[in-house]
Parts: sequence; C-alpha cells; structure tokens
Amino acid sequence: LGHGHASVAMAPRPPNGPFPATRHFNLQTPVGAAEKPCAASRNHENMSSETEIVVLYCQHCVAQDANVAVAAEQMRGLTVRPTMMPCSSKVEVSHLLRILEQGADGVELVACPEDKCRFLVGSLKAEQRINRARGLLEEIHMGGQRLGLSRRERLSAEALLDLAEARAGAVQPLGPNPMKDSSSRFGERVAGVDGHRRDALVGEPPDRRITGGSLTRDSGDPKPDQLNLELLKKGDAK
Amino acid sequence: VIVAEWKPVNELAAALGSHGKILLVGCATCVAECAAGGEREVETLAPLLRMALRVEGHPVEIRAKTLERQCEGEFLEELAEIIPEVDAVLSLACGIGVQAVAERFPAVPVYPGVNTTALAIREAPGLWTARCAACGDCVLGETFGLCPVARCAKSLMNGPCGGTRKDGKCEVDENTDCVWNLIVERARARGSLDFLAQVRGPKDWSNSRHGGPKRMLREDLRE
Repeated sequence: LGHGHASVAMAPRPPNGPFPATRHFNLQTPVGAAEKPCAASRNHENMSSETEIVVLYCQHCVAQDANVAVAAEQMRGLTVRPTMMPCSSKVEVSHLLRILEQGADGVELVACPEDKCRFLVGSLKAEQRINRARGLLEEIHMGGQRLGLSRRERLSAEALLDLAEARAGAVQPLGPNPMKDSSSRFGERVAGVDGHRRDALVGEPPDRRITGGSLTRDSGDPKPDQLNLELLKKGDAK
Repeated sequence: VIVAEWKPVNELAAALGSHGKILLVGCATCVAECAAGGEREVETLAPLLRMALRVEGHPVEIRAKTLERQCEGEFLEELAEIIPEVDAVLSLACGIGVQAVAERFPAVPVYPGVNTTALAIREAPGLWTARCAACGDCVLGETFGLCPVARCAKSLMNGPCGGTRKDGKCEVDENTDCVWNLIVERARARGSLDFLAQVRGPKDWSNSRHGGPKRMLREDLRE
C-alpha cells in the first residue's frame, strides 16, 4: 500500500510449516525496516515493559510516510503491537476479545473521522463493536476501558503511539490483564482447542468449511500451518 | 426466525464453573440470523467465557463448533466424536436445539446459552420484533395479515383497547405499534372497515399450549 509498512490485510495465507517458537505476533515488519530511521524513540519510565497494547488502525488514519512498525519496535517501557487494517470496520467483537484473551492489556482501535470513512459507515461500525465489546468486558469484570477508540487522520507514527500510550494509562488502574499468566499469551498459539485462526485478526471471515454433504461449519482446527508467523512475515515482505 | 438472546455471561460462568472441558455449539440457522448463536457469536462467546471463568479462578478449555442446524439429528452426528472429550456442552441454539443435543447425547450435561424469546422478523438492522405466537389457530386472514396474538400486549381479538396512544403506539411500550391500530389502518386503506365490524366466533385456543404439549403427526410421511 506504499505506507512503508506491510499490510496485514494483504498477507497471504501461510503455507504448511511448523509453528515457530516465538511469542511475537508481529505482522508489521516493514520492508527494509532496519535501514529506515524513525523519530519515535521513547522511554516510558512510569509504565511496565510488560504492558502490552495492541493498536489496530485503519490504513487511512496514518500518514503516507509513517513508519509505525519501526517506531513501535523502538519504544521502551511499553510494548506496542500495531496492526494495520484496510478499514476499522474489519474488526469484530470476537477479534477484540481474542486479543485480550491472549494477554494484551489493552486495545486501541484507530478509525477515521466519522465523515472521512471511505466505506461511509466503517468507523461507525467499528465504534459499535468497541462499545459492544466494552459492555461484555464490564459484564465479566475485566474492565471496559481496556478497549478504546480514537478517530484521527494522517497520523504520524509518533502520534499513533501516543494513542497507545494513552490507552496504557487508561488500563493501568485495572492492573495487568489476568489472562497474562495463562498459557495463551498474546502472540502465541492459543492454548484452547477451539481452533480460531490466527489470521482472524486481519479481518478475514472465519473459516466456513461446508464440506460435501456434512454441512458443518467448524471454527477450524488449530493447524500449525495456519499459524506460521515467520512465513507470514516473508509473505508480508513481498 | 426463532429469536433468542444471550443469557448473562455471569450466569453461564456460574453454570459452567465446575466443568473443565466445554463444548460450545452454535447453530447456523435461526439463532445465527438473530445474531445470538451463529458462528460469529460462538467465536465471541468462547474467549469471553474463558476470560470470565479465568477471572473467577476456574480456567477451562472451550472447544467450539457450529452446526448448520442443531434441531435435526443428521447434523448432530458431527458432534459424536467430540462429545466424549468434553465434560459439558453449552448450546447457543434455541430451546429446540438444546433439547435435541441433550436427547442425542444424554450422558453429558447440556446447558442453554441463550433464552429463546419469540418467533420474530428482523424489522431493521439490530431490531427483531415478534410476529407469531404459534397459537395453533391462525387468524391472519381475518386481521389483514397482522397478528393480534403475538403483537397485541393483551392478545385481543377485538381491539383496539382503550390504551392506544395518540401516536398509534401501545400503552405498554411507547416503541411498539398498537397492532389493532395497524389492522384498522390497513382495513381502511383497503376500504374494508366493515369487515372488522363482523361478529366472529371465539378463537379456538385448544390447539395452542392450553391443550398441552403439541404433537403433529403426518401418517403419509411416516416410515
């Protein structure tokens, strides 16, 4: 998309291969990231480096030259995992909950201003889903403020990370995500056996396998080949 | 469609807290249409329940599957291999589907994940309103296609009552149309107001729930 970082929406399905022993769910490795300088290098002394904030952002919210991935890598004291989407409305309530289930402390969804959405109602849909997910989190006493929505446009990488920082501040009173100490940490294979696909995070529709005669919709098996992030990164670099 | 809505998550967590491995089963038919128990809702409820139970100190494994229909035996067979591996089933189907699963797999406890509420139509995105009460004696031919049993708060056969609001809404709920007002308006539009003045015999309620559990038999279809 020419934004200097890879688009998860364009990431190809990974081929067969073993699940790599990495906890990072980094789909944002940009092409030639190591050579590109970045202005955003921060040190958040008052935040725990264990704090993880996932930033889901519409591709139209950031400036063309924003190098979000590199800026996020250079952050200190706060782990930010940015994921670009073709539209903020690609996020589903289930995606938000899955991210938290896997141990992220908070999620910031960055959408276009209401009247700037290329899909007209995309950012409104995103807001509705954030509100729904927040209500559900309140219901289970996880804290609705773990999820947030911002409406911005032409953000620099630094400004995007400011939003992550603000979200980290908002979740701080809640303490760490209680799911952190479970085996299903964010970026690792989910310990549960429900088989949700990793690439559900990129907004693809869930696996709807309607096999001949059985007419069964399975959430899918947690096949290692679907979770090979290293190969997915290679695919991103194309 | 048959309309249902999620039970409170805390209620589900309380029911499931004693189980370690749970199968969450969705139904891709009616409850998917009303966004209560389809594949998308299964994918939403599974992580939510895991978190809820984890917060309460009861970590569980939740396996998820969505059947095309839970109310028919042939589709239930998809669960046969999974059921022995779980301690309990949480069904997001309507009450029919829950019972179908429980009948097919009597050895495992089956919990309802939704409250089945109505036979309804999707009136607008995110809004479902009741249209049928399965009363067993349909009068829609006499009421211009509008059901007073399901849509009148009092199920009146000779409305409207005196409680209709000036804007044509029901006295019970300001967001609900007075169905008898709608019936009269539709009759007027067709020039058939006289039809409503006719005296009709009492409705036969014996074919509704008042007559006990329903059993429909078609000899021509039996094997």
